[in-house]
Amino acid sequence: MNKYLLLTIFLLLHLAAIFTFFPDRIIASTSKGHWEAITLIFMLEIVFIWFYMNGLSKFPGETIVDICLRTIGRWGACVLLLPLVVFLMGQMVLLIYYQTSQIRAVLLQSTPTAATTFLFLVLCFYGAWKGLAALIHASIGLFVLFIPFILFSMLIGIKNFNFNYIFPVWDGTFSFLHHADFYICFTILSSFLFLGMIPQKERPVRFGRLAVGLGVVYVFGMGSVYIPLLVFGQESAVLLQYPMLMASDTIDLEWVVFDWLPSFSVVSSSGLAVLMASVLLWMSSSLLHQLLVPKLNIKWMVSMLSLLVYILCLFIPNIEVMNRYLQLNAFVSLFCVIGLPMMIFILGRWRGKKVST
Amino acid sequence: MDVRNDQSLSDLELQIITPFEHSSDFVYKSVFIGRERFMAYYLESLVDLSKTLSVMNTADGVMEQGDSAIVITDISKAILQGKLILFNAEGLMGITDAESPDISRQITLPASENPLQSAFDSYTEDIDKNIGLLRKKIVTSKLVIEHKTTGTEVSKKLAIMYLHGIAPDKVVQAIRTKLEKNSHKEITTVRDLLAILGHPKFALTPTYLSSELPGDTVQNLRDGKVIILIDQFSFAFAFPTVIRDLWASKLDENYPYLFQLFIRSIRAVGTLFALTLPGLYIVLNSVNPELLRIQLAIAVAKSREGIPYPSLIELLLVMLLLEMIIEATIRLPKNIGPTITMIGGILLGQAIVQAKLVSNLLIIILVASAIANFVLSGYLNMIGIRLYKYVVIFASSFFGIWGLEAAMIWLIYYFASLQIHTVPYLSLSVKGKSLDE
Amino acid sequence: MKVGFARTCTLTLSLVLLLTGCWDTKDINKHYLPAVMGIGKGDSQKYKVILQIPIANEKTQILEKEAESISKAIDLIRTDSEKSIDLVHLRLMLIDIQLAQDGIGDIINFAVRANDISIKGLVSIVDGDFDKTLYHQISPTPEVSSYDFFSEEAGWTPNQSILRIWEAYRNQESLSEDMGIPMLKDGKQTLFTFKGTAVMRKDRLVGSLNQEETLLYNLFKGKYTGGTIEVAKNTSVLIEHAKVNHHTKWTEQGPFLQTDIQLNVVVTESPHGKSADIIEKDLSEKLSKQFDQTWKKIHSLKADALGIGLIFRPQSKEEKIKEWKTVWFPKLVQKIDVKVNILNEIYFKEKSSKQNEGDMLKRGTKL
Repeated sequence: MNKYLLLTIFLLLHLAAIFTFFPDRIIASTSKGHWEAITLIFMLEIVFIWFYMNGLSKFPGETIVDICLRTIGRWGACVLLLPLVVFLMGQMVLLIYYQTSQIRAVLLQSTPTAATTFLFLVLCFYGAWKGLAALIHASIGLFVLFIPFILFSMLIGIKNFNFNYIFPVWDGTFSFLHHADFYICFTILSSFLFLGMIPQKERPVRFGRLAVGLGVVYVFGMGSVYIPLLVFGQESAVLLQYPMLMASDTIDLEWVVFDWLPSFSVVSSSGLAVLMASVLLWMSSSLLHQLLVPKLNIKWMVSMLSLLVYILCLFIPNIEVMNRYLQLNAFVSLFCVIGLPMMIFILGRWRGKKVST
Repeated sequence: MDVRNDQSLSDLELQIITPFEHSSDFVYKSVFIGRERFMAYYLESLVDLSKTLSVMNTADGVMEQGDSAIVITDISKAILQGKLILFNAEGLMGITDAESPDISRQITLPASENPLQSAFDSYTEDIDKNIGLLRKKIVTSKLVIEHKTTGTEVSKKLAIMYLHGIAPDKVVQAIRTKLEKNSHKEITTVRDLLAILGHPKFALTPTYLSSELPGDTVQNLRDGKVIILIDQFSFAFAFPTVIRDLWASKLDENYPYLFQLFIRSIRAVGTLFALTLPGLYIVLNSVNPELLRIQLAIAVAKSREGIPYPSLIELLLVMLLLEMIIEATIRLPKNIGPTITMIGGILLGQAIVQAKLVSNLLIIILVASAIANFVLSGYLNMIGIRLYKYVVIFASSFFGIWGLEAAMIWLIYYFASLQIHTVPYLSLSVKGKSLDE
Repeated sequence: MKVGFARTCTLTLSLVLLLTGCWDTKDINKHYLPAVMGIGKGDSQKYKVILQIPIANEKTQILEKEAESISKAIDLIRTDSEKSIDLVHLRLMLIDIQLAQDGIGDIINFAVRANDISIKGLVSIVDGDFDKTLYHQISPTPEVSSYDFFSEEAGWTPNQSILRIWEAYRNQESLSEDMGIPMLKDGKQTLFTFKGTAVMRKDRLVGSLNQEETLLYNLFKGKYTGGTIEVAKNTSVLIEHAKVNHHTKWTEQGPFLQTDIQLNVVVTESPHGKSADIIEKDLSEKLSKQFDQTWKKIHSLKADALGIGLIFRPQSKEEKIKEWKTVWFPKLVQKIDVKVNILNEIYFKEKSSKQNEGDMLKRGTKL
């Protein structure tokens, strides 16, 4: 596994999460000084990544499952990792639901969501079936295919910016901390957890490079919030379900061959979401497979989980319910995103001591 | 001369003759070399006897003595390979390389490729000639040539060639193991070779590169690929392929770097166009017309006015026609080809639009996509893209732009999961460390 | 084997699902693609919706229905029309002035919410006979004409204001600005005649600016390219560049705004012998006065169509931003200072004022 490949997929997974969950949550969580909330989230993430990578580096050649199974036994591993599975599944369901409803809203008004979701899941299923290595290789192709669209749909908005809407820039009270929407943003941090699923020798990427990668993600994160904010202003942006999408609809460019530019935004964000959902599907099947039924072929696990996700997706009745589930999932995500790296770190320390004595 | 009445046949001779009972070009007769009398067994079609004898006579009767441990199957194999079997009166046997009648082709210009500003010689059917061609093109002791034979009933000579130190060891090793493991299987077509090498049966993209030009092969060797030559195939096969081979023709490397970059980027764009254009037509016409600018939308709507079927059917009909024209022109002799092009392209295209069976835009899109298709390097690459185009079309007709996107993602996933001889298909080069593991 | 079986199952399942699909996707020629939608007061119902559907090389088709809601009216049109109606290419929404006086909030909300209407479409108010304007036709492709009328790449001049649906939505929700909507009526030789800019408070029409005032309005907002100002009789200048500087201050009485406008102009027309200095002086005096009048007019309407709230946003606390439209904008004191710099007289040489005072003969020989 090449380090650039890993960085690419690291970037793409973050972008997928950002375009799905980020802008409307941040805009809803505070009415001023949005950058504080964004910066705080990414600062926390970099700390967690450090803990995670540091802990993992103590166990060369092992994945988090191996580490947990060996150090704290099967039951301990189940306690630690099953919530992660729940979180990953939840994240996947919500991601797919959000993306398909966006596709339905913008691209396919007459196609039933069940069909769109089906196509979405078939892709994820195929990707997860082929395994993480294939997904990581695919990320370079998806990068080439979709990054131009993303940059395009983000940058064309500049023409309509009204920079006065950036004010007020300072929020001394950190009011977003009291807002549930802010904590939903923590779910995007899950995008680095996949690093623990690759054995060490195929994981040549070091913390420094990840930090640089996260810096790039930070720029995109800021962009995804501030583009709708500068176009619409806080007062109207907060009312919009898909702020990024609407921001790209405001542009009237004569030189683009196509009209209806929000399509580009949907195409790019759903393309990345397919990658993310595939990775999530692979991660949760691989975790369940190694924890519970190591004898069964993992491909059966992938099939069963994708069927389960499909059914769950169809059971979400509307976007309101999805928001409620998102908040529930945010609690689990706090456990996974904070607890897991810390736990790995502590296990690493523990082992380090044991080896030295 | 009726050989069957001759009662002096020993058991051994009988054993030689029996496998060739039904081959009318099998001949045995007594000949004189020097002053000695020999029985000669050979295939008339492969051995020019009088020439061979005159060569032997001038060489003053020197002939290699056969090994007495030779088994009968080896003898018949030797006969099949065009050798001359000689027995003297004492029953001593000899296998000699005979002069063959002139049935192999001379080195000529390539027939299926059109090299520009490079060497023009091309492979012939004779494997030794081909290896010689390559040896002349790349003068180095690093060039490793391994001979292999496969098949039990029908045997075939193969040669594996690679540059030592440049071709990755694990690729060479993977190919060698596969060949050894499956050496009993027979090769008559390229697909047999692929089956022996363990390539996927339904690959969307050619998992090998075939080339008629030794110059191409040299570039492939330098790229770290392993070349396999098969006897009686005037092509060299290079393994494994990576995605770059879709648009990178080896001959580009003769041009200045900027030109090469330009040519290759056009081919890469062509790949994308060939894949997406027909799908895009469906998307714009039936599922997501909002993507068209309003001026265009009105014009397109006008041009489709009065066309009785949905755009998917319309597209498939003309597509079928187009594929048939392409197939027809490839197979036809060169002097009829242009006629078909004219009938198909000009007359039919014009008439079909005027008859309001399809819209003008469709013809434009299809022609653009066909041209984009031919931009790709290599005939086989084109077929893969031509085929996958239909997946794109169907996905687009069901799910619009999202279907188009899904089809592209699926293709990327497929390519990403493809590994040929341990090299992932989505690497930029076989030997490089840039993208693969 | 098992895996192979699973693969076959999936493949079959997906094929079956796909084949049952084909969700009433209609080809493009089975759609009417309206480019202009007029929303007026109905005779018996609340709304009257008129759709202009361009057809290539033919006359525009016009469809009309009345209903209590806009989408119902469109639905009624759809029922009677021989093709499906798709609003995706709607480019211009014309709203009757009577509706605008009652508030256009609902209409804008409808346009933003409907996922088949692009929010980059333009909004204007019809000040005149609504039906006549909507049924007025000039060229065979009015879709382009009505759109090009406003397009910055085509027929727009700084005498016209532009407002897009998303801007209308933003401004009606915004705490810091109100909007100005262009007003149109049917033209005699052209498709439309521009009548001025409607000044809105929130979503309600409260007053209007005429064409000259609209130019100043655009100038203030920084859209000036190609604007021509008439200084006096026979004298007019073309604006090459305008620089608008705001100096804000919060005093005890409320906000205070000093605006300096620096215009770089070229003289396009001036009577013989009028020096550049005089033109400069005339122009800056005249513009200052006009700006002052326009400003007073807008201020008296209590509608912040110029978006001054935004200028004050960097200095304001959140509470003040929230109170801007109700408390602080009416208290705003504004001073506008216009400076003019004449760049050149295009093909004529610049004459210094000294030479200008000299006698005609001398100048004649010099020339």
